Amino acid sequence: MTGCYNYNELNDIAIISGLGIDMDNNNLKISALVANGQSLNSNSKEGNAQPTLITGTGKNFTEAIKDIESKSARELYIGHLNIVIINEKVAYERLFDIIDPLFRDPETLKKYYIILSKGTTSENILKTLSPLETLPAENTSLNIVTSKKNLGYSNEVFLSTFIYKILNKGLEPVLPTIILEGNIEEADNIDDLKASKVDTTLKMDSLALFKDYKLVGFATHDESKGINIINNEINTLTITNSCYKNKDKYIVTQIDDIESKIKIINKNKIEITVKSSGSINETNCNLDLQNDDVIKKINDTVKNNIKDIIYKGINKGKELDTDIFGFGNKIYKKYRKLDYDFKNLDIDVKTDVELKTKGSLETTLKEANNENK
Amino acid sequence: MKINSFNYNTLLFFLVRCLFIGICFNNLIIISKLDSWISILIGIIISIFPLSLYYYINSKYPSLNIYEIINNNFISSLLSIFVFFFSASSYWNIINFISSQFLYKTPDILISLLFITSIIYINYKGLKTILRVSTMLFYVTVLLFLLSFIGLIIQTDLENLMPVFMSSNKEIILGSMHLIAYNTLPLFMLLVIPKDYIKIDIKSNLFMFVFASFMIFAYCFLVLSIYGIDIATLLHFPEFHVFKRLTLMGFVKRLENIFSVQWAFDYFIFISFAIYFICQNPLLKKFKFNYIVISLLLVITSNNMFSSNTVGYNFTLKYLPYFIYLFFLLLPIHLSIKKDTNSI
Repeated sequence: MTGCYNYNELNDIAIISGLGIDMDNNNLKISALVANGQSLNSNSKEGNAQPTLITGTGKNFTEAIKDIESKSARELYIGHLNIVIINEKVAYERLFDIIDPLFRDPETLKKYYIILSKGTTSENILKTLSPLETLPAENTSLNIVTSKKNLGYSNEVFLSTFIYKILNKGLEPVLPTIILEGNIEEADNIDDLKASKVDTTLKMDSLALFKDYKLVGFATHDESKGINIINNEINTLTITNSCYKNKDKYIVTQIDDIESKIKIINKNKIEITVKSSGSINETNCNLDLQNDDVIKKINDTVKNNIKDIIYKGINKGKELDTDIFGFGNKIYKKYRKLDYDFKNLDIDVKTDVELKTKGSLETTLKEANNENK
Repeated sequence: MKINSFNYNTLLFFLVRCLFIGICFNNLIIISKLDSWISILIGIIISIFPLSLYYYINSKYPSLNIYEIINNNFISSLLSIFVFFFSASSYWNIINFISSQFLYKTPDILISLLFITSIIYINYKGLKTILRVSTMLFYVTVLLFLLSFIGLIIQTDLENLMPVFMSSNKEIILGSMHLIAYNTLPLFMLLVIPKDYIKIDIKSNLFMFVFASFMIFAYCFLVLSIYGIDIATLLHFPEFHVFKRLTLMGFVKRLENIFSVQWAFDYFIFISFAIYFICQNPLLKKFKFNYIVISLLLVITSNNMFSSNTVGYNFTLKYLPYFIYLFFLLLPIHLSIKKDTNSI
């Protein structure tokens, strides 16, 4: 009964599925994507809902939201928030100012995605339509999930995970980034979706690294893969190597099962052991894949590749002096003191790879062709 | 009047569990921080002493209730006044919880009045009804606990409980003392039911106490191992927020409102019984509708006693435990060593 005191009908509220946060001079500019906007040309087949973007500006988060509410015919409801996109300038200067109100709000589940927009505004990301999903926020969320599964350099980060890493001693967070490819002007043009090839697409990019509530830099694809391997946040890794005898040819391996374990030897030395298994995806080398020595050689090459990728990630962290791997956190839990020199930590990486399958083929097509002739 | 011992045990169950949510857990994570779960284990062990004390008093005066044992109008009045303010603080806590997490636009007085109407009705029906309702709600509470425990145990990360013993021994023991104050000493109120009315079985009483204490320990363990101490201290009611992580069969989400209703049950039974306790005071017993007046006074007091959350939680952290120990431990110690009931 007390819940009926200030109930709202569904068509009296604007359900916000995505928020974009940018800087506008020194103010915050928030773009709210309303999932249940009313479509002008509606029929019973297509339904009435249409995503609508409303922007508001203010000195702080609450003022910007109030500015949005002044332009909205309905009360904003962020209980179904799916994604928050933060512009890199906000991440450099005012991350704390937006994280606090987002975490403080009692309506939300705190389990929505948080990503960084790179090279464009969050508003542009939110307004970009996709032929695959009706709601741009849903499209971006699914993009995050798919990229995490298939690209080793991306990740999915929830607000609660982000806050957890910020607050924990000896651990810093990372965020996946998203970029806009194509014509920004056509991003929200619905006619563009009628063509078989759209002009504007969203693309997940590598990781953004943070330290003490501030963005400190971006990692490359390989560095991001290394970071994700150490943090056990990688689902799949694709490695392309050139053939031994012919550098123009290549062999592609897909590593699907990667597990890393971090062992603290002492406050200055850490050992990382990575075990993985995978398969040969593609090759145009003249290799006898039925020969154990050849497979062993490929294994060793992939092992070294993974090691190199991991070291790239570690060096990036050291370069920006941000412990995104949680070495400090593990040292704190073991020695009860956060007393370590991250930049000069001696990190020893051991990798082990098992290439269990070669797909549907036992040997290469070229080898088979040579045998038949 | 004869009371079923199982019904009595379910009342004991709710009295142990009730004040953990919001008040005791908040105190524990401020004092003992990451070692709160150790404080709880130590507190459960030390609780044997006050439990034995209450059982001894009950056995020494089997046909008398606590007011008759005290046999002094002034002390009885002080005790009733203290229980009134104690239950007002608890009532404030549950209304604050409902208001801050579910109904933040609804006036607190409206929530309080709705809650109190059921409490008034149950007190009108009497002790047997309170106990029967307690039994019914016991089954629901246990089911909700089991489902939430199974759903959350897989999300725990034992590394979040490391490093152990970062708090000093003094802080851990102080945390245990808070646990005893809020979760064991309220069992003193059960002395308002004379032993002759029930067939008290120590084993079943102890089992129910341990079971309720295990639930408290489980909630503390789940919150700390899932969130870690940093987020647990940051959130208001982290024991509620952890339910937001629950999903049934991977797709049924937003279950926190259903699972947190068990705390509403805890407070419902606690406040109902506290009002019954106050109304058993010989000075108040002669008035016909004393429970209505006490209940309405409780609503008014709880809505006005603290000007803000900060004031309220500071009071329950720094001052209230002393009063609880005074009335619920020192008084029974005195009662246990005095020679007869004629004087106090």
